[in-house]
Order: sequence, then C-alpha cells, then structure tokens
Amino acid sequence: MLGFIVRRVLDAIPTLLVLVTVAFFMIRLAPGGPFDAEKRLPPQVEQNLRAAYHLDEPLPLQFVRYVGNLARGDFGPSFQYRDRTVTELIAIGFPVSFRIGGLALLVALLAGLSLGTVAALRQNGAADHAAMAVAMAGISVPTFVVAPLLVLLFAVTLGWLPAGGLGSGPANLVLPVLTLALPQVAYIARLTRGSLIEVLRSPFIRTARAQGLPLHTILRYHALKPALVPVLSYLGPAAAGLITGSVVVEQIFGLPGLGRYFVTGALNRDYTLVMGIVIFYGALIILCNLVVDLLYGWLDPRAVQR
Amino acid sequence: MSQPLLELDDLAVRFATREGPVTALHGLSCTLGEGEILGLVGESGSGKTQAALAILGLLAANGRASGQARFRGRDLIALPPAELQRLRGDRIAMVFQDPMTALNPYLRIGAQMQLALRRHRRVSARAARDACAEMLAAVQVTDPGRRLDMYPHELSGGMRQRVMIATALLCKPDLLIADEPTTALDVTVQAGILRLLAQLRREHGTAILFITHDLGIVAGLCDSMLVLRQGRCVEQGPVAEVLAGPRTDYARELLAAVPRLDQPGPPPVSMAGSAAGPVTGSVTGPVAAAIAGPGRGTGIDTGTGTGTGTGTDPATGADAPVLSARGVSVTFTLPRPHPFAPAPRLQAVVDANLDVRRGETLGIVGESGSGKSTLARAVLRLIPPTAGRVVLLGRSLQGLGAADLRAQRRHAQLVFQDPFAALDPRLTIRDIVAEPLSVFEPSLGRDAVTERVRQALEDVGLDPAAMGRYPHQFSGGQCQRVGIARALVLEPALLVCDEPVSALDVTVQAQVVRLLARVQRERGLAMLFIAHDLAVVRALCHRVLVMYLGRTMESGDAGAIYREPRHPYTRALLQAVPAVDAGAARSWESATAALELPSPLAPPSGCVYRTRCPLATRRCADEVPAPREIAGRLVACHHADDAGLAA
Repeated sequence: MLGFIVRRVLDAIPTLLVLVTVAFFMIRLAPGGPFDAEKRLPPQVEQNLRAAYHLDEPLPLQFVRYVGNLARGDFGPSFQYRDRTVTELIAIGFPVSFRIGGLALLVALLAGLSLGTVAALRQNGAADHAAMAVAMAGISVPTFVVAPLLVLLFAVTLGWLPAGGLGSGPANLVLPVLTLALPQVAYIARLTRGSLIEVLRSPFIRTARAQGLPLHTILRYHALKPALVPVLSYLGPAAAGLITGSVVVEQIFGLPGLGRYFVTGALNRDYTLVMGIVIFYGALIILCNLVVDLLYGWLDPRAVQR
Repeated sequence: MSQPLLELDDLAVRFATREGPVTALHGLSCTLGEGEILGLVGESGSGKTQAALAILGLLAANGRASGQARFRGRDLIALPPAELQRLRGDRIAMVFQDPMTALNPYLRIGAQMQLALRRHRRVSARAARDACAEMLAAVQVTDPGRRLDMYPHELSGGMRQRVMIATALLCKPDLLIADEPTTALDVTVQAGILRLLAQLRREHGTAILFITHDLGIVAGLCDSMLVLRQGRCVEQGPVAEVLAGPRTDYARELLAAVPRLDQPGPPPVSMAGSAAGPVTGSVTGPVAAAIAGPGRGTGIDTGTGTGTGTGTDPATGADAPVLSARGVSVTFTLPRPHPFAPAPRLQAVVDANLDVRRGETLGIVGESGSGKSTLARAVLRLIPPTAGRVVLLGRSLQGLGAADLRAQRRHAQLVFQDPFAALDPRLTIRDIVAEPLSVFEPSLGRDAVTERVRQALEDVGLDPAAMGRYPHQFSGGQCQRVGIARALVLEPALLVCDEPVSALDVTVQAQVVRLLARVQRERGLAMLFIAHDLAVVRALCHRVLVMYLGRTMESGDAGAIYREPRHPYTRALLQAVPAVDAGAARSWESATAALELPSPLAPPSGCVYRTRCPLATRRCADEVPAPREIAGRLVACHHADDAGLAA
C-alpha cells in the first residue's frame, strides 16, 4: 500500500514537469505581456519593471530560473497584485473554492446516488423516467443559464437568499453550491442507475435472492459497492474540477475564489499567477486520482492484486 | 412417506418476449420424497434451470410460472412473495453452476455466509461466524477460520463451490436444488463435490434436486431421473431402469452420446496413415506434398535428405512426425508485488516432449492450470517458449523470421473452445472461412475462394447455402463446425484443437467428435487435442500426454494408459470420471481425495504431484522423478512399478 502511494507520487513528478514546461511556454506565446495596459508605461519604467522580474532575460534562462524557484516551493510574486506572492493568492482563493466545491460534491453524491438508485429500482417506471428527465435537463442546461435563473427566483422574486457575495452566514453558499452541484447530480444519477441495473442482473444477486435475503439487505450489502465502481472513476476528475472552483459560478455570485484569479490572471498575462494555479490544479487532479485509486482498492478487493 | 417433500404438478414457465410469449417449460409433473435425489437431465435450452427457478420464485421479471409446485403441501407458485422469501435459503436452498460469478466478488466469504444465516436465524455475529466456520469445515474446506476473511477470487474453483454449498446448508434445508454444480470444475474436484452431496443425503437426509447434463453423475448419485427436452418431460423413472432400458429415442440418443472411458479408441493410425489409404485423394496441392514429403512417399529416412538436417529428430526414425517438440518450457514473469520485490516466475510448462505423426491424434489432458493450453500455444510459437526445440514438417520453428514463421503456420491450424467467441460476429460464414485463404493464397480469385469455402463447409457437414449468414444465426455445434471448416480450408498438416467440444451439449459434442475423427481419417491429419474430458480423449486419441502443474506425468499409447494407468495422477483422473452404467461401481466415491492444486508459483519440491499422491514418500520430496519407460509408455514417478502392481 505504502509502496503503491510512493510510486504514484514519484510517477507524478514527470507529469508535473511536462505540465510546467507546456504552460510556461504557452502563456508566453500569447500576445501581450504583464505590463501592457491601456495607458502605456514610460519606456524606462517598463524597462526597469521587466528587469526587476527578470523578463528581459532569454526565455530558456527564465524557464530554468522559474523551475529552480519552483523546486524550492516558491511560485514567485504576482505581476498584477504587486504586493502579494502567488502562494498568498492561492491561499486566499482556494479555501473559498474548496468550501463551495466540496459542499457541491457532497450534495451531488447524496442526491445523485439516491436518484440513481430509485431510478434503477423502478426501471422504466414513472419515477425512473422523471429522475432521468431531471438528470438530462441538469446536464444540458449550462451553468451560466441555471445560475441567473436561480438568482432570479430565490434572490429577486422570493427574496429568500442573498444574490451573491461571500457574506458571513451559510445562506450565501446555497445558490453557488446548488448551481455547481446540479450537473454533477445528473451525471452521478445516470451512472448510478446504469451500473446498479447491471449489478442487479448479476448471478451473485440471484444467489442472494435464493438465500431469501430481502431487497434492502441485498442493496445495502451486495449491490451498492459494485455499483459504486463506475461512479468512483467519474468522481476523481469531477472532484478536482469542483474544488478548484468554477469561473462562471464565482463570477456570477461574486466570490473571491481561485477560478476568478485564474481567469483574471490569464487576461492580464500575470505569468506567475497563471503558472502557479496551473501547477496547483495539476497537483490536485493527480491527488484526486490517487485517492480514487486507493478507494478502488477498498471497493473492489480484486483490484489490489495487480 | 405419506406426503412427498416436493410435488410438481403441471409446472409450466412462460416468458413474455418481444416476439410474443415463449414457453420454456411445458407442464412438468414429478415427485421428490424426503431424502431422495432426483436428477433433472437435459441439454441447454431444455428448461431444466427454469424449472428450478420457478420453484424458488426466482424467474426473470418477464417470466411467469403456472401449475403447482407443492413443498410439504404448500403451493410455492401461489405463495405470497414474502413467505416464499422466508422459505428460500431456509427450507429450500440452491447451489448455482458457476461458483466464480455466483459468489459476490466484493464481499468476504464470511460476510456472505453470515448474511444468509442471520436472515433466517436469530444469532449473534459471534455465533454466526462460528457456525459458518463449522459448516465450512463440514464441507471439507481447509482452514475455515481464515477462509471466512478471504474474498472469493482468492479461492480455487472447487473451494468456491464448497463455500456455495456450505452457505446453502447453513440453515439445514430439507431440499437442496443444485444446478450443474460441478460443470465448471475439474473431474477430480467434481468427484469431491459429488461425494460431499452423497454424504449430505446420507447423514442429514437432505433431498436433492440435481440438475445436470451429465448422465454419468446421474447414474452414480441419483435415485430417480427425469429427462427434459425442449421444455417437455421425455422420460422419467428410477435411474437404474431408465439407463438400462431407455424407452424413448431421445433418451437412447442421449445415452449413446455420452463418451465413455471403456469405449474402444479410434482406429489405429497405420490404417489412416498409409500412403495407399482409401481417402488420401482429398489431400491435394503443396501441403499434400509436404506431408508426403521427404521420407514418407519415398520410404527413405528423412535424416539423409536435403534441407532437413536441422529439422528432423534422429530418434523418430523413418516415420517423421508432423510436429515434434523437445524440451519445451514456458516461464512467465509476473508483475512485481512491490517495487523492490523480485518478479515472481511461473513455470507454466516444464521440459515437455511430444511427437504427432500423420493420421495420429495426441491428446493432452490435465486439470485446469496444468499448462496444457500453454504447451499447445508454445509449440505453435503463439507464446514464445523459453526453452526447447519445435520442428513442424521437418522445419525448425526457431529463429524463423516473421514471414517464414507465418508461412510455416499455414500448416498448423487451430480450433478453439468457445465456438461463438472464436467467430467474428460481423462477418458472414463465407468470409470467416475464406479469411485464411486471403492471407495465404491471396492470388485466388473470388469464385475459386467461394468454391473452396463451399467444399470446406460440405466437409464439415454444413449446408453451403448458409454461406451468407452470420454466426449468431447458428447453434453452438454449427458454429464449431464453421470453426473447423476455417481450420481445414488451408488443408493443414496439423490441427490443434483446444477444448473444442467442452462448451457443447453431449449430443452435439458426440457429433463434433465424430466429425473430427472423420476428417482426420480422410485427410490423414496430425491432430493435437487438448481436453479435460478424459472420455472424449479416449474416443479420439491414439496417444495421450498427461500433464500436472506444467510437468508431464505420463505419456504413451492411449489404449494402454486407459486400460492400465501407471502414474498415480493418471489413475486419480480416471477414477474421478463418473461412469454412466447404472449400478456400476461409483468409482468417484473411492477416488483419491481431491486436495487443492498447489500454487504453480511455489510448486512442491521433487515430484510436484506428491502433495496429493497416496504413494508419496520422502524420496518424492527430495528427488524429481525422471521419466522412465514402463510398460510401453513414459512415466515420471518413483513408485510407478509399485503403482502398477497395486492397480
């Protein structure tokens, strides 16, 4: 087990290196630079700024310097938010995104699994069709449509919930979490339904029925674990996507999350900020996949014997 | 005995399908008394499993049962689902065919057993665990306490089936329904399970409804039997009566189709192999020349010829084998369990020797995991052998380039086990059979190809008019014929059949065996026949090679080995086969206790068979027995002489 984790972490290093390299040169290929604004800076000032951030050096040298700093855990200063380091910005943005994304993941799992199970048990019945229709809608309607509609209904018309901002209470989280969770609920419900129907047809479920076990026992002890396997493989990338923040949701609800920093950073050619967040994302995705693989081992005992 | 335990009265099963209602079982009536064993016999699609599922109320959602199934007077068909559920697993338990899929792979053995027990009995978790361990011990599962914490995939097939049976017996049911419980198992393991069921009835008076296609099992285990065909009861009565004098044609056919150990073997090779033989005309073209090749047609020893210097084995003399293998070994390197561990090595085949001559069939037999398929693949270089020399038609296969190897392979064609899986479902029968031609004779015109395909289909007894159809439109037996036609269309010198009939029903199996025997005789083919069914091997093979854990135990003339096996393993295999004769000695009852096959990763020292061998002594642990020639065959056993005396 420990050997497996160590090997996976070691495997991640080259992946991250490729990511750093590609991202580094891609952002620099984009036209413009961090100090291009509508009002041009005096040439001397810009020259000094570029020198201060080593942007006047040849690109390969900059790359080596960046990777060297990275190896020491230094993401460098932000070009845009001049008094902050990239590390600090991530430390501010990530908790916000993490809280909303984590809650959305939880909601998505609870609602998705329940809906999917009900649909599977009532296969081709009214409940099944209703659940799957809701799921289809959740997948097809984009977030930027759902979010304003929710705001319109719950904040403007009914006045139950704040329309945006971080606020102090949990009320501010409800709408962003709902918006984020909705498509995930739909995916998870569909996956759960499909895999549970498949599992309920397997010979070992027939054995359990031949033992006289009632349906709820069969579901809980015999069917649930195997039915979760496909859901789990979807969950790895989905979880990483959720907790690193959604640009759209953060923008609409005015939340200072990581997603917003990423987009503004990219628009402003804030090289170090973009790089920092890309690497952070990459590491998180690798971590999520590792967690999923470990959970596989717990779910499916045969997976351990590889 | 006033009231029978189970009474079926006009039990019928219908399924609602898109094409309308389908009747799987037409009015089945029979009785089963307390402690009796009733054999429900039939081929696939005969409705025997559906009958069992109907009794338990486990039919698929679109299935409906009608009629009555009275269990101690209560009609199970009319019983409310909740009451039937309480009865299932308690008074009536069921054991399914495939213990691999019928146990939950995600749950520990103990958890599965305890769920079943605590559904029907109010016992503490502790007591339930003890009861499960006790039951495992009762069905001779070794080390039961530890097994409870294992997952099904960590057990062998035989152990899994014992776990299934133990789970079914937890509540001491009055009736056990066993649906082909030994079909997926090796003969030696099957013998152990049958012994267990017989003992169960003896000691606990459990009645058993035994569903099977194997008349040998029925003969040895059951009191009465019932033959089903296409959902109808064809014949029923006491086993001894039915087997001694079947009244219907179908029962007679079924009985005649059962391959038997005591049957005469195939006609001797000399008849088929002689150059002046009656039907050599069917072998034409370059292949025939290659077969007749140096040495055969001319009668001159091949060793002297040109271009055969490296190829032929000097020991074989004038009659050069079509295929000859010497010292073939296959070792697999497995993935390391952790980064710093040495990679485990699995010796799948160790130092195997074989020769197959023209017109001769060599059978390779052994339990699953014995390496018989690996050996066949290695001699064709489908798996690269780690050591050894293989000569096909006078040409060594070693060091051949990819193109040469492919050219040589046209002389050796394969027939596979699963007739459906071996045919591409998207190709027509014509294209499937024509495919080898497009590889090896690309210059052939379209009409010529069709003509060859037509010929090949006729040779295997298929109507060439079916050429445009697809595999799913054929039965298993017909698909296997297509597979054989595809192998024969190139007119190979060697046919390698890997369990070609084990997926087929008995009557179909008998037809395919007859077909293989016929084409071999007509074409003077050399054949390598891999099977776990010793009776089928007896019907086809001139010589046999018995394998165990990758090692050759005994090899030589089939007739001699079947009459008088000299290796204790061969004897155990033969004893384990249930004999079909009513009243025949139930040889499997006395068969050597079928212990677990040792792990091939850590085979026993010395003789690999010693852990299961009744004759094993200290010498067997210390010294690997070298093959010795005894009574006209090679035997790798230190005690073969004594064994011969004991027989």
